[in-house]
Amino acid sequence: MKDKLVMPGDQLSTSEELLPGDGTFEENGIIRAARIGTYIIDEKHRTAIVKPASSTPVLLKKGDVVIAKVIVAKPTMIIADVVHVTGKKRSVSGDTDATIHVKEIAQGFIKDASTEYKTEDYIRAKVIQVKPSVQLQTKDRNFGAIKALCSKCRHALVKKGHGLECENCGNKEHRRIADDYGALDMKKL
Amino acid sequence: MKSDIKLITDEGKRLDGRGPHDLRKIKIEAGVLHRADGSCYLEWGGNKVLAAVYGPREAVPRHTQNPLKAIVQARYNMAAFSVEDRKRPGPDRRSVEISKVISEALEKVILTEYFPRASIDVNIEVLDAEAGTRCAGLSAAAVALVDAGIPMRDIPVACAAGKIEGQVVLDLGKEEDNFGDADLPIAISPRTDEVLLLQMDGHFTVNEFNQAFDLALKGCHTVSEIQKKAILEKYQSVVAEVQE
Repeated sequence: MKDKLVMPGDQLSTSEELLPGDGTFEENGIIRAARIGTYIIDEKHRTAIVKPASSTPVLLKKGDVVIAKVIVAKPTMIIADVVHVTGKKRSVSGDTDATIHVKEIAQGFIKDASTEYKTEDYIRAKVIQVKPSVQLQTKDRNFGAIKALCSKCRHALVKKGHGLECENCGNKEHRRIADDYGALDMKKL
Repeated sequence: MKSDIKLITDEGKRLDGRGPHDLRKIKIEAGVLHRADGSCYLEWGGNKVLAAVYGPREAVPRHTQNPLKAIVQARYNMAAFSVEDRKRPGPDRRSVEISKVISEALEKVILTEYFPRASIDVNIEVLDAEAGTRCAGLSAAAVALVDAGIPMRDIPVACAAGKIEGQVVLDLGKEEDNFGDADLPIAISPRTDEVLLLQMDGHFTVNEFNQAFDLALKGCHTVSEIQKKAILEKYQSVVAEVQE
């Protein structure tokens, strides 16, 4: 059967028959479409779904790979603002305040989280929890800082060997860096 | 202000040749702006309106956030060149009011409870004005919201009716708005006929009001069909591509 294009407000089914799923809402026992897309029935879960035809708001999900900007670095945790979800073109809707607990930064033991990431660093991380609060993890090789600034002169740090160095003042700094540090163009996100 | 201008000819036609129950020509195109999350360009007679939707995104300043639902912030703005005499740019009393009533109308149909603490920003830019810009703006904003994939109960739509030379007519034109007796713009949710916006300028008798309301309601349904056609036109091809 060819999928039918439905508009917001179109009747899809009734709540006796199906459960309201993604892209639908229930009103007086009737399931209606909440967005434009094709109507699909998930037979396994008996759920009505509208597969979107347009772009949809980006909400964080467990497992998403995100780019976040560090706001505060404390000994036990990093507070960061999620600015981008990899593979999405739209900005993030909903809560963007995220935390990385010290034990989620790397595989090994880290005594002080603020030695690994510093304020204004951009880091790539994985979402491991969304509710009640957004929690991130940077344990994999491709996770970690992707852009960092010199804490003395605020110029961008470049990768030299295993560490980071400031080209402006020669200051050497330590971060937990992703394997592609400095390769991502932030303007093209 | 009374004037000598004759708004209805002896044959019962209006200045632009329309009958009393005719709408002006409407053209709608969805998804015209690349940087916006959703957008729409609408031409309604001489009105040219561009609507862009951004978000849902974090509402700033933070004290405007609602922990239970998203807020809808519509911003209606008339370009300086949209009217005959240059309009002083920036928000004025009129555009602040229109922004408010459009925000409230849109908030009624958007499922705001899905996005707590967020703000859905709707920018309505009037490029060319010729009476009925609030209806045109709201109808354009509705299409832009659908284009942005924002969950909604219905696609809202607006249309006006008015009174010229004692006769109730649909969709006032520029001269009719300036020299007519009354204007009644309404916005509805076309599925339920729930009224989202109702304003009145001038005087109607109760009978005339009911007549004008019914006429505007009919006009809304006609515009709603045009809106849906414009949305289908854009997305039918998208869906066909996916299925191939």
